[in-house]
Amino acid sequence: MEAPERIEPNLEVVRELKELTGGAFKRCGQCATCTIVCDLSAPDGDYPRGKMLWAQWGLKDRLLRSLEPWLCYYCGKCSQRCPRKAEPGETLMGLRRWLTSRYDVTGISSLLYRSWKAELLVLFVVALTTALGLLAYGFGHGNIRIYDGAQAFLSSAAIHRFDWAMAGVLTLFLGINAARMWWFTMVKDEPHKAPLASYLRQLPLLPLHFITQKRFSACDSRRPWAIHLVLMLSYVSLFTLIMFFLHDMQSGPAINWKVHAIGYAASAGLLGTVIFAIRGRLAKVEEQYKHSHESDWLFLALLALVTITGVTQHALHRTGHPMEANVAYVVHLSLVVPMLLLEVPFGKWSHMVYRPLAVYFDSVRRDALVHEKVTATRPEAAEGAAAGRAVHESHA
Amino acid sequence: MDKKIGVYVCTGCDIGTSLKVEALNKIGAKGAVCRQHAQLCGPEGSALIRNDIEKEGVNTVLVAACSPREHTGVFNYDPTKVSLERVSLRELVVWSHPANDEDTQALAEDYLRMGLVKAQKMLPVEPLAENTDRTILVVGGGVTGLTAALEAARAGQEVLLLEKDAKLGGWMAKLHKRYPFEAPYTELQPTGIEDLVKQVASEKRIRVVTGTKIEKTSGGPGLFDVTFAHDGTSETVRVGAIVEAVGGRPYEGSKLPHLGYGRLHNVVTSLEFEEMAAKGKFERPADGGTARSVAFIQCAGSRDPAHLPYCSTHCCMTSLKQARYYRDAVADGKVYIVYKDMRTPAQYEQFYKKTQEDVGIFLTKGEVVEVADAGSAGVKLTLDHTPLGEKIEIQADLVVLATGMVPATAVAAPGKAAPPPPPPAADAKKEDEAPKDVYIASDVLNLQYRQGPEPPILQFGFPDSHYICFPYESRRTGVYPAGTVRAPMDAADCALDAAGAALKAIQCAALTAQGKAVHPRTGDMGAPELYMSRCTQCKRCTEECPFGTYNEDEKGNPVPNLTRCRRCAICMGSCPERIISFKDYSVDIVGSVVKAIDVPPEDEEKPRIVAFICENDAYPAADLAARKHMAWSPHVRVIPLRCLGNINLVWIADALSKGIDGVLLIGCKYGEDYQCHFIKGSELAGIRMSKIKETLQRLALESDRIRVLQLSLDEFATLPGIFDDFAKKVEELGPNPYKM
Repeated sequence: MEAPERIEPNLEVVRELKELTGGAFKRCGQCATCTIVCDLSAPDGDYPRGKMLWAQWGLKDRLLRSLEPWLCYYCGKCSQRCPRKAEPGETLMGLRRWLTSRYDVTGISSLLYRSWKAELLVLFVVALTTALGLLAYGFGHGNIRIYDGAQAFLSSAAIHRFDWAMAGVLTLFLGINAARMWWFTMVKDEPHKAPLASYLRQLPLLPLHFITQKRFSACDSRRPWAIHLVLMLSYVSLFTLIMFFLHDMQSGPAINWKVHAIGYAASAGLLGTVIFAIRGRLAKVEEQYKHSHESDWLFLALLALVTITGVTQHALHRTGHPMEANVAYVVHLSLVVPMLLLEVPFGKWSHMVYRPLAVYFDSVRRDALVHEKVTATRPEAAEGAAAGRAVHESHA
Repeated sequence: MDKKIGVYVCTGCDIGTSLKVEALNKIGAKGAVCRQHAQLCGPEGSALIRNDIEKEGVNTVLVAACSPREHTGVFNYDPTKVSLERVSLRELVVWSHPANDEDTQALAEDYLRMGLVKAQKMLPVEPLAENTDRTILVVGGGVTGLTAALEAARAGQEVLLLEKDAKLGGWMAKLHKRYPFEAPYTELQPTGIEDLVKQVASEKRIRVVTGTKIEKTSGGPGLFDVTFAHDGTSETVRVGAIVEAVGGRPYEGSKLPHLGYGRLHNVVTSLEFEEMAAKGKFERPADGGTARSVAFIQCAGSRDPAHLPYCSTHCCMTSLKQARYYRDAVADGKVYIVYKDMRTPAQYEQFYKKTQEDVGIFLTKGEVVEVADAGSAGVKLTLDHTPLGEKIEIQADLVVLATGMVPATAVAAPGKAAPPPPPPAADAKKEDEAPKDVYIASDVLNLQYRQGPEPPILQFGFPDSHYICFPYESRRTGVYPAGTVRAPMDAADCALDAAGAALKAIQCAALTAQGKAVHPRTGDMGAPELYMSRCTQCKRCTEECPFGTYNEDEKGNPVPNLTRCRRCAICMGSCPERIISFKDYSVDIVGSVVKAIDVPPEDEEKPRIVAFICENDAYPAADLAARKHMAWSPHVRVIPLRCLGNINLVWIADALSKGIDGVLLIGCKYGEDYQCHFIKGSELAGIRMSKIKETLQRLALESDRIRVLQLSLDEFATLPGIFDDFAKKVEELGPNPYKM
């Protein structure tokens, strides 16, 4: 007989989670309706129900070890059916916020999630710094009346270098945080660490899930997945164009259809999905849009503004207003920089790394269990035997 | 007194169009008056009968119309002057059988003949003339008793309130606060007990005696003589009815050493924690330091076959309440609640949800397998089967056992030996014996009843009462248990219970004063009469009366206390000498009704079946089936009995020797979840019928000709099938050889 596991609730964690989730999870009565209606909850898992209880007790170590919050895409069925309005969907959303802030080594994430005022202030400072820097650079090296070429106010070559420098910084932070995620979930306190072979066997899952969010499409309602996919592909397209084809993007004023056709489609995709999301959050009809954390609004606002200013500077340039285009470009970049700098490593956008990683790590764990014949010792797996399996059998 | 029978045949409600009424009138002509009318229940028809009573001197009315359960207000005459018999032509004949059919006509004529015989035999009742008192005695001064006293007094009743403690208030006075009992059901409320005590004190109709104990209670409803001691004197007061609000007590922690009580200093009961809350100090008893965490163990000794097998209903809410006390007092204190199931019904759910929202309250389902000392860390609880893991451990400075409640009637008082079981009847065989009632000498009412000193117990020490059929009543007529002595409940339910019981007590005292029976034969003014010169002192009536009507004199003769009687007539069925009868119901009357059935000769191939059915469940079931126009065999003749426990073998012998082919007996369900209105009448009938085999053998008849069944009202749709199935069986057996 194994020794009983000592459980010690953490009031501080409960308080943090109350802030990040709205606090409804404390009402959960463990009926498991959420787990039953969830299309994604694994037969040997117990989410959302189990995570609700861990959140109620503030079980920090368990939560930190858990990949499950990332395995949810917030279709909202659980929250719809919850008889006590304990908002399991929003709780998992809040847990993702909490995990993001815990993975982050700098503590910036935690600060931004817990205080929207601080977030606004940081945004403003970064934006202002960027704007001033760009203006200084522009007036020092070019002419505000010229948009492209050697005399350009902000030459594509310079911006290109700047972009790559920033990408390096972002990748560094994100890489560190992702490594911490791996450490918390796969190594620290893990009695049976997955072997390298398992990591290698499951590796193809990582790009697959990054690009397709295949798991999301398993939800009952596929529309949110489709919308998310459009948003994500638009973003990736623009990112690729900017990182690798900036020179072609900025030359002109004649339209270079080879790159601009993709740019227009991606901009339309971004703008459309952002408007859809804003309308959804205002209407509060769909479950995943009912509860909006301040960080959700800031994220959408930034994305909308970045898209609009991007399109504007492009349009001004093509219509023969290079000076106005330069001004709009400065504004655009002053929004892009804080958005990327804050959201990618420390905010909502970090999920583009954490989610595919979580799916990947989860598969690695399972692979290890199968191949190493390791006994399941994780609490969720042990209990899932009772809860999840029965549920899924009845589903079948 | 000369019988003058008026026979009234109603032709409304399909009767006139389905039957040959002239033929019925011919039978009815045996009465002094025989009339038919298209609507006897209408003003004209009703006046017709009343006119005959007043002008023609009709003193026995036979109404052949609808079921006797219908229009009871219309066909309602002074039972001391006019006997009433009703023949159900509508439900038992035309609505349940094909119209204008030879067999249907024969059925109607039989019922009318049977009714006529009964009308000829029955006599007007003679009401009890006793000098009764209508004071309500309330025993117990807790929430229930105080509320009952107030309710009764405010209804205009004199009340005597007796309390064993020196002060009123009961357990509620020991509580710090109450969990919410009114909207929004989210915050703790003051107990309000001082106010309730004040209201009682200022009510001039209530006499309060505290620090007292009932020494004995003799008599019966309207005539209870209650002797109680106070201030060194003994006083006897006559009261009309009793509200037994003696409450209960928490289950003892000392019986729960497996949960640490008595072994570990830091394990306390809910009540002890309540005292801490009242003092505002949540200290570890072991060292006096403030408890940094508290763990509540729910169902401590409840829903546990080794302790209390039942749920005490309040403990979940009480622990949530106490969690709030503690969290309000200790800022970063942690509260654990380990439950089997949280039971917070109806609006209490609001309080549960609100309490859960506190960041410092941690709940989990689980089974406590070990409670052990953890030194300076307090107490270590090992839990099994939790949603947090198969086996987990939590530590708390203080452990609170949420103990259930035990009724005051559950435990024999020290020095009070259990009453000796009634001696078995001299010649009774074991399997023929009725199950013995359980009495616990709990020293509460000290009733002077032959059967035992307190109301009988069904299970878990609660006074037996079929709550659905007999709300608030016990098996001692006029004694109404309310509050936690009746069933585990919280204070809000106690107050409701108190009002209900007070109302029942008032009704009982009032009906008794008019010489009338209480529920279920409410208003019946008849009473059993004993022809004592033939009594053999067999004690069957004294033992079998479900309500303890009969005491016994020193020679063993039954001494009826008629105000205790509910007129079920089980004693009539119990008496081997047939010396117990009613003016309007007797062995002879029913026997004569059986004999009035016309049995066609064998060659007509028309079997006859008598169905003795209970008037409480099976008879209304027949009415319901008929109302739905469900049909059954026309060869069945239904005879309603007050209770199947009235059954007398002589009726069956009469029926069989007359050539009747089968006898069906349908009573109510009996056993632990009994449906019988008279507790065990149908069970007694079953026992009596077990002797029928001898009778049948003597008559050289098949035992299949008799069938005993139980039916509850909700099974009414099966009744036609029961009749038909038995009729088929009887046809298979062939005609009764005794047929002419």
